[in-house]
Amino acid sequence: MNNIIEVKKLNKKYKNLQAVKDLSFTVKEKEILGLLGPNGSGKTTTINCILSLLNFDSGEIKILGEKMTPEAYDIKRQIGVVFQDVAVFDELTVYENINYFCGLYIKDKEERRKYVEEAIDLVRLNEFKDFPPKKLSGGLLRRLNIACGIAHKPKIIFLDEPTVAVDPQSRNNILEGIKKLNQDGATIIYTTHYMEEVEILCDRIIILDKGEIIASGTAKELKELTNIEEKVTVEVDDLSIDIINELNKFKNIDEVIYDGHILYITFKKGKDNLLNLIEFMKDNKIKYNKFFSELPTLNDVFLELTGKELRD
Amino acid sequence: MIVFSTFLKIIKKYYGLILLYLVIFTIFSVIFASTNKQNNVFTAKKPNIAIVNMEDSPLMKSFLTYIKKNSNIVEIAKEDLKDALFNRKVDLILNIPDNFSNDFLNNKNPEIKFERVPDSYSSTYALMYLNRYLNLANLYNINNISEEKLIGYIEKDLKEESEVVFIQKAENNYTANYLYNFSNYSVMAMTIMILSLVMSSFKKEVIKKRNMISPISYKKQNRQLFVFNLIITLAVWLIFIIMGIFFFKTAMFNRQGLLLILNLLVFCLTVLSIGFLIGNHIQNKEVMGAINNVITLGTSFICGAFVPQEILGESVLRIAKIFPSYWFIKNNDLIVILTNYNIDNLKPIIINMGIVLLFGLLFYIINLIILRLKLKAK
Repeated sequence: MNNIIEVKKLNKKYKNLQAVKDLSFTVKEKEILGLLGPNGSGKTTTINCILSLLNFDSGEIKILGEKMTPEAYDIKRQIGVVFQDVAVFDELTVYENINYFCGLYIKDKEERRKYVEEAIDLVRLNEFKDFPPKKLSGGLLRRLNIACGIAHKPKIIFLDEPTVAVDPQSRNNILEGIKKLNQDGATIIYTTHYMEEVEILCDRIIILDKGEIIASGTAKELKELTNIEEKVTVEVDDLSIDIINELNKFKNIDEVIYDGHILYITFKKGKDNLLNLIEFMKDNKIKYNKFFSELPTLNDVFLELTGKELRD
Repeated sequence: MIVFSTFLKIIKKYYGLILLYLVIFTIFSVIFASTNKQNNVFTAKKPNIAIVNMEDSPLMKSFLTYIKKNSNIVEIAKEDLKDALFNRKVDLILNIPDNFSNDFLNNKNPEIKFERVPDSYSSTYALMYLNRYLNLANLYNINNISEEKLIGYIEKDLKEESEVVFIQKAENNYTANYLYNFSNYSVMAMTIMILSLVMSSFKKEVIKKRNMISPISYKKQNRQLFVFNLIITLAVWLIFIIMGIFFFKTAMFNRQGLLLILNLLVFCLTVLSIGFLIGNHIQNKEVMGAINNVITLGTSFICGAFVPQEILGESVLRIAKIFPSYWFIKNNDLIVILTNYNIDNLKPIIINMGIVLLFGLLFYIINLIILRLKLKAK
């Protein structure tokens, strides 16, 4: 697959703050690339630089093989952007808003009308066509924001945290819509600080912190970077200090925490961790109510690489 | 032309507000124009006079006829006269003594005693009539003139009256001046309000970002916005032309009327620049409203839109000169006293229009500089 976007050694500084540092990556055609990182990690700055909305200090950005500049109108024609902040006219209805932003790209009225209808279908706003934005809930407003950015059927779509402060139902609708856009052939660059979203959606993930790439790859590849095998949570009452000390001596144990009711155990890489734990509980006649085991998440990867959580 | 058509759609949402503004300003203009319309009609004011007359001679009858013609004779009981004077129901009380005519003709210098409202124009007016008659009587009361002859001379002289004519009435646009001076307020308020309302929607940071990544260049989008702003400004100008024609009919089509219309057009173009500047750089609608009020009311007060420039203080006018409104209003005042349309008389008017246009250009350049600096900063 061809590289649709190429970013080489991008640097952007705001006074004394290095917002983006030596950032290099590529985005392949029809790929969904996730830019994951906490607030202030440089995701939005990176997108704004790629879109020529911000000047950058050094580096090179190419889109569709051409250098991206503020005057690269042929490239801009292929791009759709959904910004973090809802960018719609309060005075226009849902339909009129989508029609305006689509009209910046599509001149033919008839063709535009079709595109606008399809965008409304995609984000499921059919019932709210004639509503002004002020009458829409937060989730519906986000969906309108997306429709305004993608109605002209762009080849490349930038989505900058499109699900911030959105209810679960709207979030699912939005994620389904994005998948559909990708299936229809769009290349997508998706920024978020919700790791679950990138895991569901993205083919490849770049984890950013303080403007630098700290890891990249598929979700599976990223999780392999961590030293954790699994995390176990057990609901158990009255555990003695001796038992907890015994657990700490367990093979592959990384951490044991007991808060009086719930026991948290983190295992490092190794075999039969769960089996050994269950046998130990049986042998020591420890009665438990619930027992959960989960694989490491991207948050664990981030925690291990940076010493802080994604949502910090 | 998607930007242009969206501009129209947004304007539609504000129809109610615009109509309300239009109605309010039309009402204000009607009141302003009709109040000042009466100023070019001269009518002498009649004072109220009460007379206590003890005589019934032909001379006194002639005097009373003259007084009745020029004042309102108030019938009041003798005991209520003082109260009537105190309550200003009468401006002057005349006491004509018994045998006044006889004494007068015999040069005994009889006196007509009077009581007046102190420091009142009307009572001075009334006294003026009294003195006028008596002075004429004194003038002709020589060589033992008969009473009939004396009355004849006095009445002949009193028939001579001077007519008050307004010089500017020649082309009948003196009152249009009030409407067009007042338009400084209404044109500015309306144009800036409409332009800034719509521009603020387009210039919202998030919308601007979305527009900037579109394939339509920022310059082209701005050009479309400017064209629309120009149309709005011309529409407001047209409203004031129609208003002028409605109030002053064909008088608006004479040379003075056309010059007033041209002067307003020049001013409207400068207002367009101001509106474009405000709309481009201020997003908050409340702040915009406040700025609009400060600019429109402030300049209207100090530049002579509400009060004629001739009665404004020198220091106020010195400050007013830094605003285009001053030159626009000054031009209106110059246009309506224009009787001879030679180059010498037209030159200051053309220069003032040039100054107003330069202000417009200045605001436009400031707007471009700020836009460029903002773009560069990003």
